[in-house]
Amino acid sequence: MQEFFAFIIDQRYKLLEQTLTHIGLTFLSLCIAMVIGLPLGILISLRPRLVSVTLGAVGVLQTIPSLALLGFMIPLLGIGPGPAIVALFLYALLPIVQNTYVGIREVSPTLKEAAQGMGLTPWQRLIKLELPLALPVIFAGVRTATVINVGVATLAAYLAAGGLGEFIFSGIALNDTNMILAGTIPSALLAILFDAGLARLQHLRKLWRYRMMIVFLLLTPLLSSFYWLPKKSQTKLHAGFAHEFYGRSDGYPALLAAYDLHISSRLIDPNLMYESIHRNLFDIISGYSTDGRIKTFQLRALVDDKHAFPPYEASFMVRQATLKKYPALQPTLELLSGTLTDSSMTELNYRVDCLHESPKEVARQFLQRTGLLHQPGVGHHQDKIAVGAMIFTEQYILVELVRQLVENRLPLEVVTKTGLGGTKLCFDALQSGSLDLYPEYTGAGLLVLLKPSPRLIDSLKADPKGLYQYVNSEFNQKYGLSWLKPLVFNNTYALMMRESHAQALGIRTTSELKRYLEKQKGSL
Amino acid sequence: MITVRNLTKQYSAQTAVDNVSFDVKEGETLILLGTSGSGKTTTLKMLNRLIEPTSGTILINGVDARQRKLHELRREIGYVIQETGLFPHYTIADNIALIPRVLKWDEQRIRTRVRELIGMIRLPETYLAAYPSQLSGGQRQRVGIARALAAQPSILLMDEPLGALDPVTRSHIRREFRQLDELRQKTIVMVTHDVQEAFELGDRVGLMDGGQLQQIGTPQELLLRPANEFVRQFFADQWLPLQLHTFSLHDLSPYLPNENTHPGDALHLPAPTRLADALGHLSGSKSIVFEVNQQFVTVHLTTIWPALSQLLEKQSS
Repeated sequence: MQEFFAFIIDQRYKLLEQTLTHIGLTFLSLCIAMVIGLPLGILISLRPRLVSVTLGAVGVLQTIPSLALLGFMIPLLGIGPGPAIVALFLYALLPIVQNTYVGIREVSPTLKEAAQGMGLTPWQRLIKLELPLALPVIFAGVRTATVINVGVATLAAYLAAGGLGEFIFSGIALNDTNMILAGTIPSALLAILFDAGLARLQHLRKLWRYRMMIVFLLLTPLLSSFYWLPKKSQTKLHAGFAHEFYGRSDGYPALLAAYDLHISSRLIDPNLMYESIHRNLFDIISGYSTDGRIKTFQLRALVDDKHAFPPYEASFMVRQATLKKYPALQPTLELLSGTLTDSSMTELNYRVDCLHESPKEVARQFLQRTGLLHQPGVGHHQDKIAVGAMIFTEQYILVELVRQLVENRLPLEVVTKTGLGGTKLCFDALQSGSLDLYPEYTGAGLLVLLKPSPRLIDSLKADPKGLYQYVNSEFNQKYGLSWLKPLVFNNTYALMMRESHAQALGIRTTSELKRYLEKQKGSL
Repeated sequence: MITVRNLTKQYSAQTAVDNVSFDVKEGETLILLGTSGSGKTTTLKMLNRLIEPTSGTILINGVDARQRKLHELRREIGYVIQETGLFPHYTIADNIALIPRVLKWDEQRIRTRVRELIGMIRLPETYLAAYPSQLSGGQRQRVGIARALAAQPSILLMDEPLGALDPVTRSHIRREFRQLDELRQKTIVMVTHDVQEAFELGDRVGLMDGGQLQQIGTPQELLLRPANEFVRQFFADQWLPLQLHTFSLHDLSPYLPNENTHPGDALHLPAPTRLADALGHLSGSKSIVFEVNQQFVTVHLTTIWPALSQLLEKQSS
């Protein structure tokens, strides 16, 4: 509990920013839904033939799971606030259209006839009679839409649109309960607040009810403008940070400690990060130094001149019990060490990410080229081992390499468990025995799992060899896990910019980025 | 003035109104009487084109209704319906001012007119700020009339205007209606299924059945010279009370004995008082005195019945 409050206090500015963005997203989409939904509801109340088609279509949208709808947005409209608002708008549409239609339809036919018989035009009837009487029902629809949107807006973070979902997604990626709660509790409170407030409004006395409802409707554009509020205080360049990067001590906190680099940032899904910098949604991202997309999107990895990020040499973390049981396993796997350099790993990643070759095929060709496969291989498998992979391309390729190599040379079947959320998850699985091995990086082992004193970390940062030895011996003693010989390549965090942009601004290192931001701040 | 010729409304399966023709003269009140499904309401709603006729012509003040713009036509015709159709979210004042506002009268004129009307229907001005739900049924109905009259239409259409009220309030409001000058001067077509109401308020009554106008005429004509068996049957079970509503003291005077005595406790009533009302008074006092051709005529409970039977005998022959 105390940790939770400490987190909230520590992150209060970020939280306030996310809350404002969240309210902004909710009401922006609500506003658009009203602008389109009200006339649509009115239209179908005048044209009964359109009712079933319209309500059917709008209703079908509502049945699409919200996460899936946001997923559809990526190929259709890309990422960013636009697509997120479109998705939210589609969700808010049904309650508004439906309630407008029902509200108008349920105005007593006697009253409608009286108005008609006295000579009111359809338009006058709508303005003077039907809309005022339908207002409470329409308002109930707006209330429903608001509450739905507050909830669904948490998913906007998935499209890099910000909001309280940033902490929720990050928290899930990092398995950090406090972070999840820091996103969940405010968004639940917002929902309760708006729901209770609007319910209160509905129960006001007649005249006040009308007045306040109209005030609320006029207020929605204002609440929508909250979306732009945080932008005001933002730095010249915007960063999109992967959830893990933001939360892990070797990520953003390390960057802060080494460079005191303050930059307005949004937390996004690591898979969308490269796409989003390419689309100019951000100017800086927290990439991985061997990612294939660096090549595709023409990005520049900034030189980490102050060694904020420790080395991340890739290796396999294996249960000692497994190594004992299959003595041939370790020498077999270590055939791979030294074969993969930074550039060859980037190349493999590029082929999968950008040329859309399958990891299986890429791994097979690599093994053939390096002559590691026996011809013919072992045909029969007596036993099984489980190999895990985190949810990014490099891990898929490494796991394929392991699988093909082991199945070719040893009588072992390799069961792969891919798409695991992160280091913590894989490590837990390894300890519990549901995995036998998975590819891990020395820096992650040190900072995420061992968490030694800052002084020790500093001393190991510039020393990849020493780091490997330290990590290996610590895991041996503490957890009964071995780190195999490093594969050589180093997949560390790196801040990245678009090559053209970085060139234009003359930024090559993180220190230069820091100086540029300071200068911009000074000139404001 | 309304002229209706060969008016027919055909729905796919049935004929709702079948070849109906009638005239309503300036300032006259015509009651369309009939059971539900007789076609009376359909006929009424064709007059302001809430329902479009299948065939036939309607002249409103000499102009073919179909050649008028719908909303203009309707704004010249006041329309009162059952349960009044007052806007629940408007105050009484705003309800009455509805059509004048649509017609863009200036606010001063509207305010004056609203005051005038609220006085006419005998409601205190404090009610102007109230909402319809705060009024009784009878009060609401009176506001409904005021709203229909607000823009001074020459014609008023009323569709079962008192249908939702209890019998006591109904007869009360009927009496009030008869006394309202502004209503008396209007050309009115009113629909009802209530025979007494028809006889009390109508200058002429059109009895409808099966979409056809069975007979149109004054209440007396319908009662005493029914055009067919349907008309006779229709009034049969209320025959006596209707007669009492139809005839006045004046009609009775030739059949009353000459009495020179002039009882001191006699009640003075005007000669056009209807017999139904006179009988009501007779239960309280011994005799009634009224004046015909500058002569006083006296009537008692004992003399009224023989005179009435003579009158009816004479009329039906």
